[in-house]
Amino acid sequence: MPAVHVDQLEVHLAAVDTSDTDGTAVELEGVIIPVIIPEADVVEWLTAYDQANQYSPSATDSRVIARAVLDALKKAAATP
Amino acid sequence: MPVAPCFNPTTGASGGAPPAASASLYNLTPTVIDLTDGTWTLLDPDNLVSGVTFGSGQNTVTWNALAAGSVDYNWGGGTTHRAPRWYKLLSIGGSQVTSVNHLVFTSRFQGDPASTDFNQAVAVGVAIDPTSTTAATIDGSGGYFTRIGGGNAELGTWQVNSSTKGGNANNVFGVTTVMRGHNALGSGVYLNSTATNTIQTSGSRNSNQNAAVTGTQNAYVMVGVGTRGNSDTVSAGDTQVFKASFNAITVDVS
Repeated sequence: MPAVHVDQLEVHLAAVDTSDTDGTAVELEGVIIPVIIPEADVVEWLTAYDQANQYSPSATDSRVIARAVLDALKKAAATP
Repeated sequence: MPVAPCFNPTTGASGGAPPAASASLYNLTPTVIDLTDGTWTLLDPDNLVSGVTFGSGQNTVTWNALAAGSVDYNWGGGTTHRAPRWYKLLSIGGSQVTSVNHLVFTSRFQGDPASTDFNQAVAVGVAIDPTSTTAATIDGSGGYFTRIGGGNAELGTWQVNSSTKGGNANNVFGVTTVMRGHNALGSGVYLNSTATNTIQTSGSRNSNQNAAVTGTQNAYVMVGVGTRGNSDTVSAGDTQVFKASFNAITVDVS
């Protein structure tokens, strides 16, 4: 299974103006969580994901990403 | 056959003259931005600025009405920038800085707490073509300030058409440094402080633009004013009041 990491030391609250993946404007204050996909796992992740299929990615793969992000958020929230 | 110097002309010691020492960079004095001093050119594609004055170290920009907000007036978004901007060539000691020079540009920004007329933004940075309305041609980066009415000052860094800022009730001024050069736009970092130099927020943002410029282009200092968000409007007579200053150095890294 491909891996996902988070740069926990870079997690921080900031106000951001940028563009989302679909090009829509993002303008908000929020927690920035840098997600790191190992270069060796990029192809495997992309292969496992079919954007046109509403059931993709698989529940197992989704959980890997979701847990990495949510663990980072939890840890950041617990840090004074 | 070339003639080699044998003695130091000052001390008489053997070995010739010592290498010339660079001027000290310790505690450089910033250049205060006075938009009325005659060195700045205003580009205002949609006639949004009705006037600018300078007093007590502060610039006061007075606006005409902006009845319909647009991302075009938000320096932190979109691909088109039609917001007003002042600019001038960036030179150091009489030498014109170009897109190729390894440039370290630091700006200091301090908004007047009483300047609360609208949801505002100010960018103080470096641009390659500030006369353009295309974000990727302007190629700007630097310090960035936004504020929602009388809310917290958000200070950080602007990179072409995006920004990252830190908002805090105790923010009084922000200092941002961007490193650019070799036709890359580099990145920016910032520290936001109270009046007594206690840091409240800090951060950084990458431009992700390593080959933004072609050839050797002149660099400009630019002060852009605008709205914080894409739908923010401005009433006629609204003002922005701020102090800003900058330092620029280039480093020979060849």
